[in-house]
Amino acid sequence: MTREEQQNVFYECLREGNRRRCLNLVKEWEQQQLPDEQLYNDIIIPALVHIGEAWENNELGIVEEHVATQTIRTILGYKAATLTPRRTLHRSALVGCVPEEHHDVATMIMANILEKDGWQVMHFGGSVPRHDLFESIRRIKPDLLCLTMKSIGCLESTIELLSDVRATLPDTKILIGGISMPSVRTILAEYVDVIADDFQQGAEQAARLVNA
Amino acid sequence: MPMEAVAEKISFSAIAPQDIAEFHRQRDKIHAAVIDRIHNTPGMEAIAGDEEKMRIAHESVKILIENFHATVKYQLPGALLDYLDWLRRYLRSRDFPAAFVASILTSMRNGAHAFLDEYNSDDLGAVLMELRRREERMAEGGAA
Repeated sequence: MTREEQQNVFYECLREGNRRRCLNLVKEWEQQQLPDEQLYNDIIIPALVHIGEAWENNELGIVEEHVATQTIRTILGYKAATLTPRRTLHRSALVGCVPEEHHDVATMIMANILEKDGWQVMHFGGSVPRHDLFESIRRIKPDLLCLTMKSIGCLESTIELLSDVRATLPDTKILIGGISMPSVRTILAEYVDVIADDFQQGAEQAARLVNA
Repeated sequence: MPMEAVAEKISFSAIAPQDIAEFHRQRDKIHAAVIDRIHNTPGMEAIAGDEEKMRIAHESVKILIENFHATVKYQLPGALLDYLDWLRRYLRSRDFPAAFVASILTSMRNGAHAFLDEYNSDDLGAVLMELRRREERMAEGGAA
């Protein structure tokens, strides 16, 4: 099966809500040694983007869109449960969305990639208030704070959080992803160590930040 | 066309920080005023009488007000226009009237004038008017 055929068959199964078939496809490709990064970048993310577009265009209802997202969560949970770290870094990473952000699938992927790279990962997902997130960061003192942001409405609370973390935990490295707009990246660059363009680059730069 | 190039036509630089901060503090009142106007605007009856459309309208107004605040505060007109373009397409796919987003922006402008008592709402209002004009052009199928 070519990559395009893999993308198409996975998307069709996802759109039909066929969770079992989606999971079986992933297991089948796993046996064929498809690298996780390719599964995430070339198959899962494009499929989710298409599902999102179908919902935006009113071709899919909100329930069908949630079914697809939950199927992806199941797959990513399966990948998390079965992954074998390639090394041990003795470094901790707190991974999740910026305050008030709900789109957390990317954080699940990032958590899996970092864990595979040897990080001790704590993954909190999304929809966390700024105050609670800051208090937990202060208690946990992670070596790396890895956040994703999609909604521009989260910018203010994100900047407040990052300012507080910088002032309180200067040794904690901060990586953020999910931001495409240059002007937003310029604003956030002041508060973070790395703005990642993709998962793999994010993981590589995260390791570099802690000299791993 | 990159959205930030289009955004050069709209600037938030005239809006004072204290005025956008007050707009944010009054966001619930402004939201209520926008929703109230939907119920009282000729041509919007189909939305006001449809429970699902009103749910979408509530959510869209809430997010637009939040995004307006964030993008003005951090001087990001491109990000706001990007969101407005997405919102227009999304609402069109849900059979909202083409003039809906322009109508929301008008209501936000009215709300800002009504609730920013001791602050300057003129510069905010001017930007909202500019955004409304852009929406009207876009709704008519014109360029930004």
